[in-house]
Amino acid sequence: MNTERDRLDAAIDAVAARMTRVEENDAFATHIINALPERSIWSGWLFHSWAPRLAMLAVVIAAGILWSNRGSHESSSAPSMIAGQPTVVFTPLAASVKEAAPNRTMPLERVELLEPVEPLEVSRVDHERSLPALGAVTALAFDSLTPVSLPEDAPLTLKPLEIADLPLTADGVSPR
Amino acid sequence: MLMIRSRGPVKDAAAPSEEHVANPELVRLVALARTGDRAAFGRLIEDHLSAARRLALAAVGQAMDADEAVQEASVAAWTRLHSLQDPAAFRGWFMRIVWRKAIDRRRSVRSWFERFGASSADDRPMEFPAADPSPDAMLISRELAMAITQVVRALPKKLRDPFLLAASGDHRYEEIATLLAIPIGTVKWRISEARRLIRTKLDRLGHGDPR
Repeated sequence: MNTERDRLDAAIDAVAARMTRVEENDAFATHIINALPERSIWSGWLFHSWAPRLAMLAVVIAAGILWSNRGSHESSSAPSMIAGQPTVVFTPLAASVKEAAPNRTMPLERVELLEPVEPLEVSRVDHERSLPALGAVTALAFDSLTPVSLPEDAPLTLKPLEIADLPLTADGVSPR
Repeated sequence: MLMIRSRGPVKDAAAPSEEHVANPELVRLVALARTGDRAAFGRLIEDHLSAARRLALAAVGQAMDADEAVQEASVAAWTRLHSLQDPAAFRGWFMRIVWRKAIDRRRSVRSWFERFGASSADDRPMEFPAADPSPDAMLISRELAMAITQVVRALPKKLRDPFLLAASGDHRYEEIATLLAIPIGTVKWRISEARRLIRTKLDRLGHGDPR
């Protein structure tokens, strides 16, 4: 029984080995070498192999820069959003001076730059005291309007319009 | 201890791996190939070509597909040679590339057959050299050889792959474990289980142990 079993094992081994046996083919190695892609210089090969990694690294760095810029923009606007107060945006005032043509007969007018106004906090504005109170009116005098120049009893009359007669002769008419 | 001795003495699994034995000529060729020396790379390929073709054949089962996989692996090795850390480990590194290319090809061939409704890739006839001068082969009847072939091909891939890799006589258990990314104990168990299944099926076919 053992002899038969050994024979079977030997047959299994032989067939399994034959399943992975290949014919010698010397031309195949030459064919492989001829099919290899060109790789001219060492530095070029290195760059070729590293180019995808460098590209990915550049993309990651650019994304990081964009992300950091976005974060700083959000942080600058964050306090007003958190406070829940109405946002009043004041643009800083600045004098707008046009560049005039040089006039040598007169000295240049000195322009003072206006300082930016302090930001106004709406919640702290006191409307009751922002303007001085007005004083009460004691009396009204209309003496200057007394009609002294008009007649007291005579009715108002209008003189009729006087229109001069117009000459209706052919002498004054143009032949056209 | 389970050893397959069909292709000469199988290397002892406890022996030091070739990758850890510095081969000055191999290191020199790898260094030259890294600088773009085609002749040096050609020498490297020639030295490992037979083992690479057997490895690919164990995966795909067809000599033509195996050679295509080896060629793809050679081009990949040529372009990625700078990533090889230890020049002395070229053989294992190259064999891993060959194995991956062969597995990719096996998947693509199977998907092609499935797409066009033909028979599965595993059902294609496996090629054999016409003449086999070994004494073992002469003692095996053609009927038994065909039966063993069919049974081996019908094995699950996880059993068939380590069994055929060991049968090729080119790889130690450690190398097979590295190629298949499994522990060495699993490799031994799978080979043993594959052999047990082959015997069982041959028994059913009337070729087995007459017990």
